[in-house]
Amino acid sequence: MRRRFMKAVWLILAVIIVTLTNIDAKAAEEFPNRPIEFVVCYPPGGGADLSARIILPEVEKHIGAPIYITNKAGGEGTVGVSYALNKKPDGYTLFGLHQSSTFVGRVFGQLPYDFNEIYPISNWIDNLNIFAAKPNSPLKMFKDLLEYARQNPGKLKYGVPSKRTSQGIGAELLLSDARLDIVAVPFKGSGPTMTALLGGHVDLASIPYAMAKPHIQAGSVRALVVFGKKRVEELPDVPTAVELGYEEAPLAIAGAGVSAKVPQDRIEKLNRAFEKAMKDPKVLDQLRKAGFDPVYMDQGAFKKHILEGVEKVNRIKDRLKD
Amino acid sequence: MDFLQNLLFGFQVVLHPTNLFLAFVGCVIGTLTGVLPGLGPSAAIALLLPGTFHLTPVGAIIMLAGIYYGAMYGGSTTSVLVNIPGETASVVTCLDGYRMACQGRAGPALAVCAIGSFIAGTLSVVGLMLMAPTLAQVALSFGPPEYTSLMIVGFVILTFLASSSMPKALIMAAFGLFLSTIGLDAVSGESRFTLDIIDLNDGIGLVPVVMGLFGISEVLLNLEQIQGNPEILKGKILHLYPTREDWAKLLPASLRGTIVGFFLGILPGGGAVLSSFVSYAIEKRTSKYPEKFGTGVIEGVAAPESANNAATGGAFVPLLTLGIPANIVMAILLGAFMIHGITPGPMIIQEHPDVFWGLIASMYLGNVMLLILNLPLVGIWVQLLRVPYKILFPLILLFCLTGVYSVSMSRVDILVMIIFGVVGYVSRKTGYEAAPLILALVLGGMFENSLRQSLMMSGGNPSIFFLRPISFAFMLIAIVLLLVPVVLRRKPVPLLVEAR
Repeated sequence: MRRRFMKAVWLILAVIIVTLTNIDAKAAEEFPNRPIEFVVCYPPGGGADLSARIILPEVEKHIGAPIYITNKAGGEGTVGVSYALNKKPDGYTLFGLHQSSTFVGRVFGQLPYDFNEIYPISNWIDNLNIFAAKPNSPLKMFKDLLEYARQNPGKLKYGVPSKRTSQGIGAELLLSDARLDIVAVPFKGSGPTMTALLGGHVDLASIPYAMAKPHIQAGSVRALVVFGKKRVEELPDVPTAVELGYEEAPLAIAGAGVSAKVPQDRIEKLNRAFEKAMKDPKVLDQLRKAGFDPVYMDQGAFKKHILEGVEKVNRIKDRLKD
Repeated sequence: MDFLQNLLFGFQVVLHPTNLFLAFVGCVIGTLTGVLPGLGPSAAIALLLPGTFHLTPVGAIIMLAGIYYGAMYGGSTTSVLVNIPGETASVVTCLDGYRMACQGRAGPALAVCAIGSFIAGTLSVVGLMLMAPTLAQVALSFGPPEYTSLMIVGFVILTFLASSSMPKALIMAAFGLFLSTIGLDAVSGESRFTLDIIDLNDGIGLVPVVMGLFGISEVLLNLEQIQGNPEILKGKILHLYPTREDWAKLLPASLRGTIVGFFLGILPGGGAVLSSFVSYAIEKRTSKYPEKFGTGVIEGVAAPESANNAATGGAFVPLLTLGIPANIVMAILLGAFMIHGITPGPMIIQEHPDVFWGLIASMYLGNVMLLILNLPLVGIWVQLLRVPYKILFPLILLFCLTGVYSVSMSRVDILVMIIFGVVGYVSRKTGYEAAPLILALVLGGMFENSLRQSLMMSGGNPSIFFLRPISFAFMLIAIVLLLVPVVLRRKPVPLLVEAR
């Protein structure tokens, strides 16, 4: 009995020693030699989470190490980023980047970390936002809105998922450029905003196109204008804010970042893996199927885009204050 | 006839062996996540979501939905056995369920939960199937003013929850209201009372508060008595299944709970937690012996447990017909639909009849499976009461810790749970009940948001709450509910009792 027990102890010890030496030996090898953590800064099931779960399996193949996802939601995307930045900057912790955890948060001084500590690797998708009118609204086109709102200042109400989202910024920019007085009613997220629009509790809403798509197709809700400069493919007749002569709103971003302290050669490797994945037609197809609009930006373009975002939001920040 | 044909088509889809198996797996996982305190269906569905990428869309949705309604079956188990809700929607079940267990009636209490859940689950699927598009219109007619008035009714109902001292219940409710203001203000985007802790920006989580107030404090209270009372149950376990008298009380209570739960479930944001509280309050208010509630009354278990199950059926209405998720679990399910290239919304029944009718049919089958699964489990769970507390309490603590952490992987949540464990311990020792706090925390955030939205819509004019018919009706209900006890109390109640 006793001998058997001693045998077991030796066996366990042997296993531990072998594993430990193995780890040591591997650590000397090349990056990456162990699983990489990807921190999604929003709850599972949302757009941020889904796009990551579509893209990362492909990145995994190109980087040669498994990538696992941790969902760290909260603080409008900043909780996850600060969690990741607090880890060792060895390239084994990546995180999702969004406008609120980069340029919007920066302008409003809400980042619990240093903005320059973020190294943007690649952008994946663009979120197109639209201004839509409620079911049975007499406002059929943007022109109608201009006319009616100018004659009846303060009478129309529009729903928006919080003022500091890309929807809030886009609408505020457009309304102030067009000198329209429309009252903003902020809701908690785009779901409740959409519900209020469908129920006719607000006249208009600034919402992601993906959310409104089924209702536009069913003919109940009508898109009046697309924020930014790119038209929605399925809505060839709806003009963009830029076409109408207004300023381009900063785009909603969704991409990947890493600590700026990570050695450059590791960043390069990650970069190449993301680029390959984002050029794979299979990934693009799956993203489109899930309702995203894939737009790839490499590190340089992505960084430039974020800095432009800072500048733009800075210019309109006083209008977003209350 | 169309319905029957469509339903048959749905059953054809579900009876495919793979789909049948997936529905079963979903129900089993759901029951387990329900039983484990803190670990909720949202965490389980999120974990399993990537695994469903390779399944067919129907299969994936059937399984994930099974986890959701399955969790509502399991959630009551720990409420009854150890006075710790397995799910936030099972908080109210503790009130009478645990008392029943203390009287040796844990078996009937658990059986009532399973049967009530089955009745409600099945009826809510019928409702979902027959009335989904109509109900979606009802849900849409609820704008911010209607929500505000509904929340006011909720606050009035809150006063019914007090079982001993009304002032103490109101103090706890006020504390709950304060807690609901913590976090980022949705209207201005400024943070309030967060002490610069970014984890608190999204507010104090409901799950850590519930686990603290009920789970941790329960363990602390029991530790005091551990020497004299090594087991929860001192007496005998009387019988396992409900008696005929129990059935007579169970059925009407369960039906009332189902109706309340289903309709509140349709409203985004309302859902299972609110409906369980409301149905309990209704039972207590309409009962011939309201004073006995909180001492182990069968209606106090049947109604809320039916309500939270019916709410799960209701919650599918806005998701399937409008593409709008009513709660976090539905948001994850929406993601599951999207990833398979299906956009839920007004067109889903035409474009993907297999998914819609398959899901409906799977919910009928799933509820039967859950009943068959849960009734024999009653016997096993009851035996758990025989486990010495010194073995049970470390396990409970472990499950609470892992469960709370699994919600959003936040260490702050664990801290919140521990703090509220102490708060709960002190408040229970001094006779302050936790249930009003929980309800106020649930109502507070929604009330504040919808009140401010309504006033923005009306330009600051409060008449908006009285000029819209639905909102006016709720206001009227609230006023009547408030006045009735005041008017009745004028009668010399003790005298009447003596005269009899």
